[in-house]
This record gives sequence, C-alpha cells and structure tokens, in this order.
Amino acid sequence: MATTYETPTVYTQDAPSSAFLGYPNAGQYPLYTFYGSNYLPSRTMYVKNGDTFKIPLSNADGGDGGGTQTSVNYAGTTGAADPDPAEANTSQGGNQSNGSLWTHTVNASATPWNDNETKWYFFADSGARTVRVEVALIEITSFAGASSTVNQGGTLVFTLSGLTGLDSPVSGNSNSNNLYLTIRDSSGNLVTTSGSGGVSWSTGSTNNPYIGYMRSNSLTNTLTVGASMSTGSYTCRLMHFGGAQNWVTNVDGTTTFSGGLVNNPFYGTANQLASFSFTVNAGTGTNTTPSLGDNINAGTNLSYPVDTNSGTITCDPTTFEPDVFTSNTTGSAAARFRLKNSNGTYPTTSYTGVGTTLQLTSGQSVDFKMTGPSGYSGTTTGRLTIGSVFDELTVTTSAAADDSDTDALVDTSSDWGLIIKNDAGNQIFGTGQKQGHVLVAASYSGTVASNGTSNPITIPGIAASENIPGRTAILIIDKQANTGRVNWIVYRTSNATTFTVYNGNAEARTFDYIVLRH
Amino acid sequence: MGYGLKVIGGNDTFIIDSDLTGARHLVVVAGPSTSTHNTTYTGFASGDLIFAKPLSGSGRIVTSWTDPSNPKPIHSSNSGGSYGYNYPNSVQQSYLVVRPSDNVTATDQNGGYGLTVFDTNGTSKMYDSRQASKGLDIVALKGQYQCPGGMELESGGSTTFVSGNHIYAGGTLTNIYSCMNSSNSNIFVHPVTGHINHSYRGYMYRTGSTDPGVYYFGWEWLIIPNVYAQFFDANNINDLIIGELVS
Repeated sequence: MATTYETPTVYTQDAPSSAFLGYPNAGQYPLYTFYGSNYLPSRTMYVKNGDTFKIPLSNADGGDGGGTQTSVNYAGTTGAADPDPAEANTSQGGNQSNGSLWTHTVNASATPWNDNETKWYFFADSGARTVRVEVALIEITSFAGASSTVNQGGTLVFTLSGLTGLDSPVSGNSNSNNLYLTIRDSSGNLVTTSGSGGVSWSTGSTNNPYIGYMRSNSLTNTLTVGASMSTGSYTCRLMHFGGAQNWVTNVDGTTTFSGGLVNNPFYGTANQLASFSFTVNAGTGTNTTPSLGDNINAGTNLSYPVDTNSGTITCDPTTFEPDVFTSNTTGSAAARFRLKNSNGTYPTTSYTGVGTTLQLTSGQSVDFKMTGPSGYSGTTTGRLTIGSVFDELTVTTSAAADDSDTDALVDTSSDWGLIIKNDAGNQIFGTGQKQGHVLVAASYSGTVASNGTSNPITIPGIAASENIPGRTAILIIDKQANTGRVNWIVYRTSNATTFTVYNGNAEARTFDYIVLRH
Repeated sequence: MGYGLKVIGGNDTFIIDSDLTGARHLVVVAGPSTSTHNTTYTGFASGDLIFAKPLSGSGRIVTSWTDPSNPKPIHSSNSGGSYGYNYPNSVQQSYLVVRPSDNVTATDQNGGYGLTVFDTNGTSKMYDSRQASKGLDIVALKGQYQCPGGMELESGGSTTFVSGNHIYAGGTLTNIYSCMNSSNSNIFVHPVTGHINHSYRGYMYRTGSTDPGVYYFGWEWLIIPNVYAQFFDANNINDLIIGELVS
C-alpha cells in the first residue's frame, strides 16, 4: 500500500562541491545513509510505487560541526531525467530553510523513474557543505507460493520475479539489501514461533528464524511449516527494508530511534510489496497404538490412582506429529497425560487434562493418569488418543465392606462380651472399643526401582476379605534420609492377602512397612 | 478355632482373635509425653508406633521418619520462609509410644491379675492386661489416597478446610491421638542442581464450633531458587488411624 515516509533529518557534510553540478569531485556530495554499514548501505531509502517520501534537510550540526547558513540549496540531480523534489524550481534548483521538507510522490510509470532511482544533491555555505540523497524504487512483477495449501510438516516454495531497484548484496554482509518474508495468521498476527510449532525459512535470520530473506541474486525461498503448527489460513508478506519512524544510524555512528518502532523496518506493514495467502492443513501419517495395560479391579480402594505409560510411540513418516489428548469415557476418570521424551525427560512436567491437545514427536511416549471410582461398585474409564488410534483403561470397585473406614467404627450399646478394666476401674480393652493389633512390621527386602512395583508382600493371618482399609491398615515408612518427593502407592491385591507397593519417587528406594488389624 | 479367645463387638468390631497368628495387641507403653523439636521420641524403639496430638488445642503435627529407627517430631512456627509455605508451621506434640504386646516388658501395671492371651507357640503374648493401665480405642480410619491433601489452613478468618481431609469429627479432642507413622517431613536439597523439595504429611487439629476434629494435610513444595516454585497437594500415601486414649 502506498505510504508516506518522512525520514529523520539529513545533514549537509563538510565536503566542498565542484563548480559543475552533476559532476561532483571525489568526496563531494557524499551519500547520506541511515544504515551505512549494515541493512541499507548504498541508498538513503527504498520506496515503492505510490509512496510519498519527505526528507528534511539541514545545514546545522549533524555530527561534523555544522555550517553557518540557515538554509539549504537544492543543486539538482545527476541527470535531468531524474525526478526532482516538488519544492525544486523549474531550473532544477531551489532554496529552503534548515529543516524544511523536500518531497516527492512516486509514479513508477513516469519516465523519470525508468531507472528505479533518483539522486538529489544539496549544498550550503556557498558550496563548502554538500550532501547527496539517493532513493531507489523497488518494483516486482509477481510473487507467489508454489501452492495455496501445505500440510503440517511440509514445505512451500515462494518465488519472486521481475525484481528491479534492489541493490546487490554486499559481500560479507548478509544483512545488506534484503527483502523480508514473514507469515501472518488469519488475524494478521505475525507468526514468531519457529521450529515444530511454527515456521522457518531455507534462507533467513539466524536469530529470528521466522523471518526469511530474498535478494537480487536469490529470488526463491522455501518455507517449512512445523509439524505441530496450527492449521488454518495464513499470508506470506514480502517487504522491503526501512521506512520512516524506524531506528536509524546517525552520521557519527550512533544509533537513535526516531518516533519509535511505529513501522518495523523488517516486517512493518507499510513496507509491503506483495503477499500470498495459503492454508496449512493437518499433516498426514500414522503412528503406533498406545498401550495402557490391563484393566484394574481396585477392590474397595476408592479414587484409585492409576499412573501408567503408553510405551514408545513411533510415527510414519517420522516427521508426522499426531495430536494427543485424553477423554473420560465412563465416569469421572480425570484422565490426563504428559509427553515423555525418549531420554526420560519431559517437555512439560505438569499433566494436561481433558480438552487440551498436544503434539507428539516420533519416539516419545505418554504418561497417563486417571482416577478410579470415588464410590463402591463403580466404574471409570479413561481414554488416551494418539492420532487416529487409542487405548482405554477401566477401573472398577467392589461393594463396600461392612465396616466402612469412614463410618462410626464400633457399637457401644452392647451389654455383652469382654471388658478389661484398669485399677482405676476404667475400661481399657474389650467390647465397645476397637482394638489394634500389629500383624507384621518389617523392612522390605531390597529396593524398588523408580516407577517400579515391589514384589508381593504377604499379610499374615488374615483372610482375603480382610485385606481392605476398613479392617487392615498398611503404613509405608520412607527410609531415605535425603530425598525429594515422597510418593508410594499401596496396591492391595484383590481377593488375596498380599499387597504391592509402587515407587512413584524419582529414584530407587526401599521402605519399612507396618500392617495392623483393627 | 481349637482354643484361645475371640472377641467381636457390635458391627463386627474387631477386638481380639487368637486365630490371627502373629497378631500383637497395641500397648500404650509410654505417655502422654511432651515432644521436643527434632529430638527422638523418648521411649521409642524400632517397631513401635507413635500416636500424637497437639500439646494444647489446635494446630498441625508432623513427624520426620527419614531415619525410621529415630523418628523426630518437627515443630516449626515458620509458615513463611523465602518461598512462602516452606515449613509445616507445626506445633509441639503430646505423644504416646505404642508397642506390639510381645515386645512389652512391663508385667504389672494393673496388679497381678487379669487376662493374658498367648499365641499358638504358647510363649508370645497376643494380649496381656497387665502390660498397661491405658488403652487405645481406634475411633477413626481413612484408607490410602482418600484424602486429597492441601494445607488445611485457617488464615485471616477465612476457612479453607477441605471436607475430604476430615478424618475424625468431634469437638473434644483432649484424648484423641493420631498415628504419626503415617506422617512424613522431608526437606531435600539437591547436591548438584540446588533445587529444594519440601514434603509434609500430617494431621491438623481443629477446635471451635465449625467442623471441629482431626484433618489430614499434605503438600509438596518444589523450589528452584530464584527461578521457580510450585506447590502440590499431596494425598495420604498411608492409611490414617485415629485413636482415643482410655485410662
């Protein structure tokens, strides 16, 4: 779109002019650049068709001492065919006070712009101070992508043709005279994510890989769309560098800001030469099916915690990154997950619940958690979906035991049974008082690996039906003197007199245990 | 049962059963005693259980079992610290030492008479009324993972008690003791990365007119100094047992 640029002030320099306008001697009429050593070394500015540019000139101190006159003279162009500022007189001359604007609106079809440039010469102090302004017009014939669609994980080649006005790159300076490529989403937001979740370019910025380059000798660039980049509509924009109200480099080498970054010099909308819209579609591929293990009968253990892993998931092609999410198929399973890297680390340690989707990379696995029923005789089922395949895990609970662990425990109304009293005559044992007996107190033999389960431990004496919290209590005592989290889970074996202990800690540990009958 | 003694109360309440070979009655062998911060419970021997309550009124109680043969009560009035709730803000305890009957040496706490029940070997005592003048009546239980955890904190008059952590309901907590073998108190500083992990599980005694009783509390506090701090609720990894001291 046509833009009105107003540059920071251009200052005349201490460089005497020759007697013949248009044929300056060496060192006279020096080129004024704002980016002399990096982005725009050989022009004062780039413009496009329809732009209006305004350049304030001054003979005051611009970093080299300044002059005495309070006005600046326009000395014309190198050739009569070059466009003049609107403020020039019919003789290609003119005079304005310091700071006055010298302006022009670009009409690319007008003959004076046939060479895509104009050079304006200014002097003051009777020619003792001079400066030259060069403005180049960037024109293109076409800019397009090879396709209007691309899959996640795919690539899209962009090609530019009919480029004129852009100076050649400067050897050894990869920043010089570039056109810039950026991607914006359907809301116009710049995509600044690179890698698997965003974009990157075959020729582009090292520090900001989401920005690509094109140059006069490099008119194609390949966009790589990340495998987990959001699907939808996007636009690739082609822009020239610079524009008003950008940061600039002064003549004395210092860098300043002029009006703030109203228009970003690399991807500001004002600099747009062309654009191309395309759609990112979901990637295609297959992946192996997760395995959550056998269904669980939790007996009378309520809200039974399940913590398992899917096993390694591989994708074909390996660049395919399938969606991963959980759902609660039956009951309040509280199914949740996190991705696990092949080296055992986690991209994010926290778990993701129902309603949120992440993308898996080939070789990762998925930690899966869910919760069993909170009531007796219940069922919960959680599902883990990866790509187009899934596995489910069901936890069931049995009927409540007679003496629920949360109910009142004893009947104190009976007038029969056995009572033991102390010397004071007070009951210390017997009917009406629930008693506790230690069945076993021991140290586990050996250690249990992290995320591993102990060998079965037998509870002596009891019947299988008594292996429930309402009749036996199992106490696990962590034995490590200096360790992190303390996380053990007891699994009572259904219809048996044994239990196992899951080590949810980060390292192999051992433990003491006490089992009570009460 | 060919011989011995079996007593079952109303609602199938367990009292004693000679058929449970190896079962040993829990005998209150010491206490109530007053705890000293980070000092082994007086009279404790390996295999014993510790039952405790706040020395007075309400508050949290917690025990470190990092050395199971040397458990220590942790009293910490510091509920803040550099990263917030670093410490359990736990109080001094009144505690009982409870020991399986065949490890008890006392023989004449109630005079020279009473009832003794031997195991099948004829020598090990399953129960002996002469071993103690006090008893422990189990009045409440919670199975593993049934309490969601959290801080159970009353702050600024607003109540944040969680009903799911309520183990024992009652306004008179004078003789209500909680099994501290289910508790833990760990502070871990990683020797290489420097990250810190605080882990606390214990009991909170709440007095007053609103839902008084004994609550479970449990949390983990992961800290990477100057970088990251994350609080986690921690379920009860052990069954929780509440007893009433009778004497």
